[in-house]
Order: sequence, then C-alpha cells, then structure tokens
Amino acid sequence: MKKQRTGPRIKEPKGAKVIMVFLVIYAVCLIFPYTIAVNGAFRDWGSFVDNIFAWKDFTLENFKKIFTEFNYPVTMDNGMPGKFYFVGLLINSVLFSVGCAFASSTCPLIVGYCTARFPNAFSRFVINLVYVLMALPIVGTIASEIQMTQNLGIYNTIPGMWFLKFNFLGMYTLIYHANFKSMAKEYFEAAYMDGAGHFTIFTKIMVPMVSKTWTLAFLLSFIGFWSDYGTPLYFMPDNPTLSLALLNFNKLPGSIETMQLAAALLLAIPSLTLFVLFRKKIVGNIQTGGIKG
Amino acid sequence: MRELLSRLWEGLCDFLYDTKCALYHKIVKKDPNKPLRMETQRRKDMVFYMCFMAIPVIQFCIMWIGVNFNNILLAFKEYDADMNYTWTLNNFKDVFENLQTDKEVQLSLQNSVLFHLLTTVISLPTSLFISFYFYKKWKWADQLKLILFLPAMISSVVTVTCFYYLADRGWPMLIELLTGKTDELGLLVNNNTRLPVLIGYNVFYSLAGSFLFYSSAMSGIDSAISEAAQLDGANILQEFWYITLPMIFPLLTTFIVGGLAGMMIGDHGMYAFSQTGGNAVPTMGYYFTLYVTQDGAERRYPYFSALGLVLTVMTCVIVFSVRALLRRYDPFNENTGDRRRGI
Repeated sequence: MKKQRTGPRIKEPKGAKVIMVFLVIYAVCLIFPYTIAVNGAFRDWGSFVDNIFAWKDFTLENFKKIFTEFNYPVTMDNGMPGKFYFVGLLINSVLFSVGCAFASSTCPLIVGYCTARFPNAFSRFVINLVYVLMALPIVGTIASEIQMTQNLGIYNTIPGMWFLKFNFLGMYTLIYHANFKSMAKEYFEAAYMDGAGHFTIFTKIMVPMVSKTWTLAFLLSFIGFWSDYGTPLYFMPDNPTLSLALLNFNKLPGSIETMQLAAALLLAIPSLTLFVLFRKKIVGNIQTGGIKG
Repeated sequence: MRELLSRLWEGLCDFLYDTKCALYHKIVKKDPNKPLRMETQRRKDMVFYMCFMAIPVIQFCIMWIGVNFNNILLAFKEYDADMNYTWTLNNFKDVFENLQTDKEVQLSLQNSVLFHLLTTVISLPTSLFISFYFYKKWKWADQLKLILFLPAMISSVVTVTCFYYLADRGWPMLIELLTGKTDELGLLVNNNTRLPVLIGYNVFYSLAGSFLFYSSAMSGIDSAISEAAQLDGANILQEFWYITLPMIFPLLTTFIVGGLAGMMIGDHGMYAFSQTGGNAVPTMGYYFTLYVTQDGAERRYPYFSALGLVLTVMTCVIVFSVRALLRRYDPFNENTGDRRRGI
C-alpha cells in the first residue's frame, strides 16, 4: 500500500525549484571538505601535498602509522612524561563517551520520574529551578570548575567526568517530567496491588515505557561526547581521548597531513555509523518536537 | 551421581527458602499479605525519593552551587607564587582596565559579537526558508534533510580539519590550476581573508541542524490555517510571512535569546582552528580556553573568574533586554503585535 503523505498538500510553486537548486548546491558544498579528508587519508603524503584534489597514489600506510605513531604526550602519575597511543586513546574515548552519555541521559530520567511521581514542594522547586537556570546566561566559570574538580580529586579521572555529567539541568528533565506526568496513575496502582516496590515499578514498568526517549537521548549524547574535546582538554589533560589527540596532532614531531586526515576519518566513523543506522529515528524525533518516545 | 547432586541442590534451596521465610516472619513480624499501613507506605515513598534524588541533588550542590559560589570567591582572591591567597578587588580593576586597553580582550569581545550577529542575521532567515521547504515536503525534502543534518553529527575537530585543508592548501592550488598564479596565499593564512572566511565557515555550518527545529515547529501549525489562507488567495510567500512566521515566533524568540546567552561562551571553532594547523581570530570563548588551559594558569584563575562575572552581567543585561523587546513585539500575541492583525 502506498504510504500517504502527511501535512499540508499544496502544489509546488515555481520558487520551490530555486530553493531546491540552492539546497543541492549547499549540500554538495557541505560535503565537499569531507571528501578531501577521505581522499587524503588513503593517499601517499608526497602525492597529496603536490595536489590535494587528485585521486591517485592510494595507500593504507596512513592507517598503519596511526596505530604506531599517533600519540598524545601526557604527564604520568609519577610526574614522568608518557604517551597515550591509539589503542589507549580509543579505550579512553569509549569509556568517556559511553559513561558520560549514560550519566547525562539517566540523571534527567531519574529526576523527571521522581518529580512527576511525587509532586511535593521540593519536586516543584526542582522543576522550576531547571526552567530558571536554563535561561540564566553564566559565562566564564571554567576556572572555578577546574579548581573544584581538582579539590574533589576527580580531575584527570574518567569516573570523575561521569559524575560531572550526571546533572539534571536541561531540556531532557522537563521532557521526562512531562512524559511521566502524563502517564495514567493506574500503571503505578496496578503494580502496587501486585506487590511491586518502587524500584521494581521504576525499572520494570516506567523505564521501558520511556526507553525510546532514553535510547535517543543516549545516542545523541554519545555522539556529542565522542566529538567533545573541551571536557578532556579542561578536566582530563593527562587522560586524553581521540578527539583531544586529533586536536593536538599538529604539535607532534614528524606528523604528516595524510595521517591527520586518516585520524580524522577514524574519529568520524562511529558518529557516522550511528547516524546512518539511526538516521530516521534521530532526524524524525528531533523534528517531531525536540525529542520524544 | 548427577541425580543425587540435583536432589541435594533442591534440598538446599528448599532449606534456604524456609529459613528466609522463617526469618522474615520473625524479624518483620507481619503477614506479608496484609496491606501496609499508611505511615509505612509514606516512609517507603520517602526513602525511595531520597535515595533516587540524593546523587542528582548532591551533584547540583557541588557542581552548580559550589562552582558558582567558588567562582565569586575566586574573583576576589589573589594568589602569590606559593598559591597562598589574599582578598582583593584588583581582579575587577584589571578586568575593567583590560576591557579599555588590552587589544586582545577588545578584539575577542568584538569578534564574539560580530560572529554572533552575522551568523544570526544571515543564517536565521536562510534556516527559516530551508525549514519552510522541508515543512512543505517539496521535492527531495527527506533526502536533503539527512544530508544537511550530517555535519551536526560529525565532530567539529574533523570538520575544522577538513575545512582547514580546503582553505589553506586547496585554495592556492585551485587558483594555480585556474589562473597559473603561484603566489596565492591560503585563505586562513592571508590576513585580509581570514576573518570573512571564518565568519563564512560559521554561517555555513551553523545552518546544518537548526532547520530541523524550525520545521518541527512549523509542522505543529494546523493545516486548516494554511489551507484557509490558500483559499483566500494567499501565495506561498504571503503564507510564509503572515501565517508560518508569526506562528513559530515563540520558538524564534527562544532561539534568539538562547543564542545571545551563548554569545560569550562559544569559541566558534577558533580553538580547533588554531590547534589543527590553521590560523584563527580571537573570540571570548577562544580567549578563555587558550589561557585557562595553559601551563601555570592557576595563578590567573581569579582574573578569569572576575572577567567571567563581568561578562555574565553584560550578557544578562543584553539577554533580558532582548527578551523583553521580543515579548513586547511578539506578532503572535494579539495585544502587542500588529502584523498578524493586518492579515
């Protein structure tokens, strides 16, 4: 059966074609710089420097070199200089991104549930706080934040960053709060009658009901943290991620451009893969009112 | 043998279960089928609530209240070489002095405002047109939407690296291929082209992603309204101007105000440009990142905190004024707007 179009149906005006041509040109221009990275990553350095637009002299040498030469200099715990190589950087990136994405998507879920399920004065205060603080433009607290993480002993640690990102100040808390609030009370009551406790109700009934929203929030957060170089730069300079190492690539002695592009390509692969796999969900959900299940 | 072991295991399980039940009745002294008393229920609710809210609240107290309180205190401190501090107002004196005399701070501030204004002025209307195209689901809308959203999913370091190669390496090669001129400088190396190219980069890539939110808001408009306008003879531009735009004005207000709030924080990719090999122009976000992450920056933290506080006050004044102004002239609000009434 043919899928029915939704939304307003009107005849395509002449101006639409002009916008379409503009959009196609814009899309091509947008993608073009990435083709240079793809081309450069697979090319011999000499040939690339000679002409970056040519498609010739392809090699896998850059990717081989990444495993042995791509590194990030750090100061070890004993104060001696050390280096993080590709595998170490990759492990750090995965731990940082997965942990932070989990923390930043789970904390709003917990706060959203508690504030909706128990509508006491404190819950109302928390929700109003989220609204107020979202609108407050605070600039330049980074020095204080670094000092605070150092004092707490979470500076340069990945679990410390998970704690840093376990916050509820954001849109997701309001979305979860609205979601749980709109759910029928019968769900809770029926579960109570069957002898379920609060924790069982939360984990086995409520979480599955918003699992789509949570998954999408996790995915988007993961993509964001995978690309994030700011947090590791400020708070984990001696526990670097791939993103931070790529930023520092030019300072490495003997670094070559094609290797930098190969590293950029490797960094982009996980985000791109997730986007390709979940493209309809990501674009569709953002489009249908921010994020929803 | 296996059967014996299995019987033994079953026996052990039964014994453990019986012990558990006996202990339960002995300790709790309650019939498990009897409904809980109201007080017990409330206590259980409270225990669950407190357990679940504890970590988020502690995190907020430390990482928001604590950080901001420390930021205010830090702004009034001055560290010596041994990191002992004294209370002072010198940091604020330095900040106001630097805002008047320090070329780097002035340029950073100026560029932050310039980047933000130009990006908003150019990309906002363009985003709205693109969103309208997607909202109307004209030709290739779904495919184009996916491609245009792609840069929002790729790391900015990757995008900056790719753009740097195109602008600094590709441009001179392209000019040489087209004109034979061999002394053309890269677009980011050339002092005359650097700023416009970087602004162009920001405008170009800021479009990707934002259109989804606008088309989302547009899709919430009742189709009966646009159909009624078409029946009244409104063309597509009139529909966009008189129906769609006023209807999504609250979202536009949120985006404009939200953008202003981030004006001083965003570095517009400048730090990434400066580190990946290209040349950058200073912005406030870049200024903070560059100096806060330098070796031995700890002694200058009080200055950055003071600068942050001054910029926060400045941003608050701008944000709340613009918000009030936008509320005052909201065309969606019948009491204040006049354009909607003129349909």
